Amino acid sequence: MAIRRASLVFLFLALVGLAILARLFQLQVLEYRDWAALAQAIQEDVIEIPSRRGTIYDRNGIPLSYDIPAYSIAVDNYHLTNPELLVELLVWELGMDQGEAKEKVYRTGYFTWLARNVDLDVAERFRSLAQARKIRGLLFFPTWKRAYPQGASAMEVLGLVGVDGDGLSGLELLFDAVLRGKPRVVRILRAADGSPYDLWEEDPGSPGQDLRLTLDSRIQWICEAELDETVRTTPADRGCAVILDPRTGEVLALAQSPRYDPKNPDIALLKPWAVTDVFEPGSTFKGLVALAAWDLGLVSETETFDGSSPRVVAGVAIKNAQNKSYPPLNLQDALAQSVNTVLVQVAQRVGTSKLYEYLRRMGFGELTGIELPGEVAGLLRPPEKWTEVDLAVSSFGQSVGVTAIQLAAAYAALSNDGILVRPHLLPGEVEVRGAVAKPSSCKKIREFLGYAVNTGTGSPAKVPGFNVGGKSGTAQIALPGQGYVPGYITTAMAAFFPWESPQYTIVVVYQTSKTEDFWSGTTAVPSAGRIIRAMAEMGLVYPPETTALGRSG
Amino acid sequence: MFSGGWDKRAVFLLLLLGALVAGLVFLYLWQGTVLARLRAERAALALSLEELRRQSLFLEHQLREAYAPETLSERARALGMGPVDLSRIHYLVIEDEDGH
Repeated sequence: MAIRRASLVFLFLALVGLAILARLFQLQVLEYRDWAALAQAIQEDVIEIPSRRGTIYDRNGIPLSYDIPAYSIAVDNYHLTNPELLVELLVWELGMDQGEAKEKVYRTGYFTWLARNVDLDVAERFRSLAQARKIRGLLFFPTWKRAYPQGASAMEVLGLVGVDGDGLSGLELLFDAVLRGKPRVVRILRAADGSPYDLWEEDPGSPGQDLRLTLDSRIQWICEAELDETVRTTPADRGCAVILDPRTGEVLALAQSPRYDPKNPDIALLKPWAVTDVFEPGSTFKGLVALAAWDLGLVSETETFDGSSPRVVAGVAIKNAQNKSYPPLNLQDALAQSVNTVLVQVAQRVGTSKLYEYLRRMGFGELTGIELPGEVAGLLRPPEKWTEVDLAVSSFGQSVGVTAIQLAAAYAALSNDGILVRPHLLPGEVEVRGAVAKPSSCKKIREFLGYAVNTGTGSPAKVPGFNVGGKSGTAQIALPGQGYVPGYITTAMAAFFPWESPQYTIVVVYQTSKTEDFWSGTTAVPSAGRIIRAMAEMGLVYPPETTALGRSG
Repeated sequence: MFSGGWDKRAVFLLLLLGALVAGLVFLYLWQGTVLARLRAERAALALSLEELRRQSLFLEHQLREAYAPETLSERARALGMGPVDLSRIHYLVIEDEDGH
């Protein structure tokens, strides 16, 4: 009896054991994949951490634009608690409009973005306040946000990055593929309470590559401060400045005012108009026309020209500024006093085809190739379309359209003994585009333009000890379909220093739409001088005669 | 009970073996638990390290902003340090006893 009972118990236990084994077999072998997937879904999170976009540095390694950590905040509207407090928080902490906050919070859905790319400190304060108010259902996604440690400096060059990290303009757009990285993928195993139990990297990703520019943030800032001040204190609507190293074509500064401010955005100001907008260069062109004539041996140092005004060309009266007549004067004095009627005679000697050839060699009428989107080629009509008057007025910068970067590149060629190099923002090999004129011709014209700054119309740009040379220009602006409109004026100064062997080429341009009383002598010329002076004050440039011992004297 | 061929030495060896196996199992479970705890700690530390890195980058950015030329210029102006106005500078000529 006892044996039989024991056998029954044994049999029962064996059946139970068998059932357990069968169930285990079912779970562990037959349905293994399903259960493993379910467990993985409950316990594991795959997080994609956006990679940090490359940093853009200036030539000295000072960062101009980089990614800083931020949060994007979303809400799961089905699990949200205390929505009225969340609306309040959005208004107070993120400065959101009440209507917009309500629309987002009371929307039906599992996921609504509340704010993208919120600053780290703001997001952390927001999170702790939300926790204190027992607001549940908020989701915080770590992300990156583009920041500009130098403020609004060089924004039109750097460009913008969208909320999803895509380059939208400027260098950010042009070099988007280089700057953007690959996101890092991390798998987290979580315990029942949600705390991380284990973590491993599935894909290390890669950060974006950095860019180093030729810009010098200090020179850039000097230019911007000067442009801001002149735009503020004169009737100028806007201004731009370009500084090049004439030997290499490196762009040291490309500034404008007004400019895009990340704190007060205006997309229209993102256009680097030194590269995208064309203007008539006015008398700054005289230096280049004189170079062509000198290089061809058509003028001499002692020869004098008739300086009377007006001078009639093909029935059109061409006047000097304020219709002033001058006694006969040589080319050096004509450049110093900016006498239109003399330069008309010089251009007539050069002739249309030769002048056109020289201007093309100087890079006018074609893109300079600077690494910025939206560059335009300017306006230089083919010689067969030039009239006699076109030739005459081109001598003082009318009937041609140039960009500030083209003018700077041409003056850089004059500064570089006639070798035209491509202006560039990314360091690299010097790209020679051709020879413009003989070195001796360039030196002579530089000497004349040094004289123009010392004694002539360029004198407000004079900085004692720095031997600045250059040519100023004031020109009316022709509006589409209206021609020259009173009150629309461009003023410019194209300068270099020291004129004997220039290390810097500077072009400053201002434009107004407000008054006829707008002259380069009170805007662009002194601006160029103040920029050079500020560079000296900051210790970026020294007078050429200075020696290591001499400065302490 | 052990009289049927099981001598004391065999029993002792069996017990020793059992204890050894139990010890190894205990060691395995114990070390497994320690390892799991360390893994969890490592995961939490890795996450907080990431967070600290992000905070450090943010603080670096604030520092850089504070030292930007524009900010320094504004702060200097606020402290009364403006550009030199040459027209407002007056030189005081002090003569020595000999009138030089």
